[in-house]
Amino acid sequence: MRWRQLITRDLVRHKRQWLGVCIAVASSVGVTAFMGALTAGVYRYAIKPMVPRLPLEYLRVEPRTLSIGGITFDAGRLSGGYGLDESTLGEIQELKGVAKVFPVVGAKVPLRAEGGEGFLGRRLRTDIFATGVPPELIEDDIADGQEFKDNPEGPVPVVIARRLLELYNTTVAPVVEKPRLSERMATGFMFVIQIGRSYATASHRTGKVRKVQARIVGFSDRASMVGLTIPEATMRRWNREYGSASPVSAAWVQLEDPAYAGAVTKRIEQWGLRLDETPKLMAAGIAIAGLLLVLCWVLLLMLSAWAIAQVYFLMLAERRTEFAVIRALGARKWDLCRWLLIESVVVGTVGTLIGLVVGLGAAIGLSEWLRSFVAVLSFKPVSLVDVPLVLLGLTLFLGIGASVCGALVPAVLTSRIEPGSALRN
Amino acid sequence: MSFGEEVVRFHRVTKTIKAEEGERTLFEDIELSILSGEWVAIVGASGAGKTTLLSMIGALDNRFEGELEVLDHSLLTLNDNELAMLRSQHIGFIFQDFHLLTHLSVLENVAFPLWISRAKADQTELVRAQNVLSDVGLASRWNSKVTHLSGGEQQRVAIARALVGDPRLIIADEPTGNLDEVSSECVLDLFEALRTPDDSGQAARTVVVATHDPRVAQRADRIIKLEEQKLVMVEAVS
Ligand SMILES: Nc1ncnc2c1ncn2[C@@H]1O[C@H](COP(=O)(O)OP(=O)(O)O)[C@@H](O)[C@H]1O
Ligand SMILES: [Mg+2]
Repeated sequence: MRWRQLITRDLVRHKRQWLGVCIAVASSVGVTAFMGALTAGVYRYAIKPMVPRLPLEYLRVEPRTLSIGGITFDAGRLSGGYGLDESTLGEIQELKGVAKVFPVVGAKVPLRAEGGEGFLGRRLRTDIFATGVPPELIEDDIADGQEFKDNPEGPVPVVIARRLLELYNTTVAPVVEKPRLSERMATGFMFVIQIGRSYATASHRTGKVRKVQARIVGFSDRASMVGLTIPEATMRRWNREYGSASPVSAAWVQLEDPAYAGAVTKRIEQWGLRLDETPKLMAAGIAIAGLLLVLCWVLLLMLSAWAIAQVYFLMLAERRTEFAVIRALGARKWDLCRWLLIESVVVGTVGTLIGLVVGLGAAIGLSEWLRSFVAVLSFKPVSLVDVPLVLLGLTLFLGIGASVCGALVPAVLTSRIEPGSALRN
Repeated sequence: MSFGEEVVRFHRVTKTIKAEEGERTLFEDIELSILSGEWVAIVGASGAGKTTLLSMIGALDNRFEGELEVLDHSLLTLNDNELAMLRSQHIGFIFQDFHLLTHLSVLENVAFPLWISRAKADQTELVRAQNVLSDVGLASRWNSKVTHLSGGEQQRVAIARALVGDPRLIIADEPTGNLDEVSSECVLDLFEALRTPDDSGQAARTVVVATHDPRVAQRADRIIKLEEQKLVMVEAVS
């Protein structure tokens, strides 16, 4: 034998007590699965779409600006440090570990965009920002069959920040009851750009206003978050056309290896320039949240192990004589211990499965209920529940682990029962 | 092994226990020898230490001073696992409260010691259990729940369980303490019979019974009395 049969018999015989253990396991697993699925869901459907996914080998450098009464100064230059201009870009290029520096050129002309009747149902007019970047910076993100280069004759190629599309899909589309757009669907979309005119600044002083066709040719994580990204040459041409120079508003620094990020960042900051730290902060925030969650789980594991241990103590105390008899009949301590631990694995597994079903069910229920409320708000994620494999694995581990941990001390203490006490009652 | 060989030997054994009022000596410097095939009754007032003595003979308790050999093993030299092994292979126990496992059937209770012994599991365990069960006259009840049996029947199941591993030494503590007169007689008759093993050519079994019932003691070969921390040989009955 037949330990298997003995264990089955024992579980059936003491089903009330084992049910207690099972409920203790199921509760803690239920709470964990519930919390975990909601956390993962909120992260996946609400937080993650907001976080830029920047490849680690790219750094974004901006001039340190100082704003007093609406006038913005280049603070780096004011304090005797570097501003962000062609010569600074050259020096950054010389730093060890830097593969290439890409300038981001700002617009000195007012711009407006018109269009969208195709899928919005009405024509939309809005002032927009635009920046120009060298094609090599985003060439990987240009859709097949599209081109991203200056062409005075054809439509202006435009690249949009991938996050903007995600924001549209998660927050705008549900509200205006439009289907979500994939990158493929949105690529090729045509609209009109009016150069030299905006609602905010009225017409440009040279007075020349003209319209050009524009076409979306791709989505990129290195595209501007606040407007359109067009080829650098096009931007410079427009600025020249309106009698302006082309200021470098920011730069992308491509590293030979992400490992250089620390050193390069340090040098650039010493020059009084600013690095966009949003991704870094976001990553740190998410890491801390994750750490807190893991801490919560460890705490929960310990708490449930403790609760389970109490149930075991009660159950085993009731059965001391029985265990003493089994010891007297020749079972070793280890036989008894192993027997109880195997039973705790079996019960832990059953409890875990029950807890998973209940916890995940509750999470889905709550998610749907909450979503029925937020429908009126501008933000409506597809779901608030996500069950990644790692959550399933962790929960199984937690449930069975808590059951075994909780059983461990009681099992060891029980196995130490004096076999001689079988003779006394 | 043949009749007359020494199965249990106490030499200057002292047992002290921790009581509320401090240390208490249950017996001091006792000498005792039990031979194979003997049926020995241990009598004495309640609290005299009969159960304690039995648990030492039964290799359940090896915390004492002196020398105690059981079935050629010096108990003080054995660790917990070895004591368990000795019990599992050579010693059968019968308790006042029967102590059957209520979640197992009659037959399974009888087979239980075979299951927990580390001997190779084989299909004959249940057959062996069934044979022993017929020896105690309960063959037809093999599939009953133990809680459906009378006290006398439960004790017979317990006897079968004690015999199933073919032990050389049987320890019984107040085996008739919870039984009426008729059942007691039946159990004592079984004791008489079980001293002769079923397989011929094997040694007789040794039976050590603790009791405060004079009628039980009278059936034994020899009565030993625990009195004032000493063993007193009362009489050889037959
Ligand atoms: N493990 C123990 N701890 C404390 N006291 C014990 C222990 N075992 C036995 N005793 C005490 O030792 C005395 C003898 O017990 P026992 O051997 O059961 O006597 P008997 O079986 O003759 O009635 C009793 O007073 C009992 O309370
Ligand atoms: Mg007693």
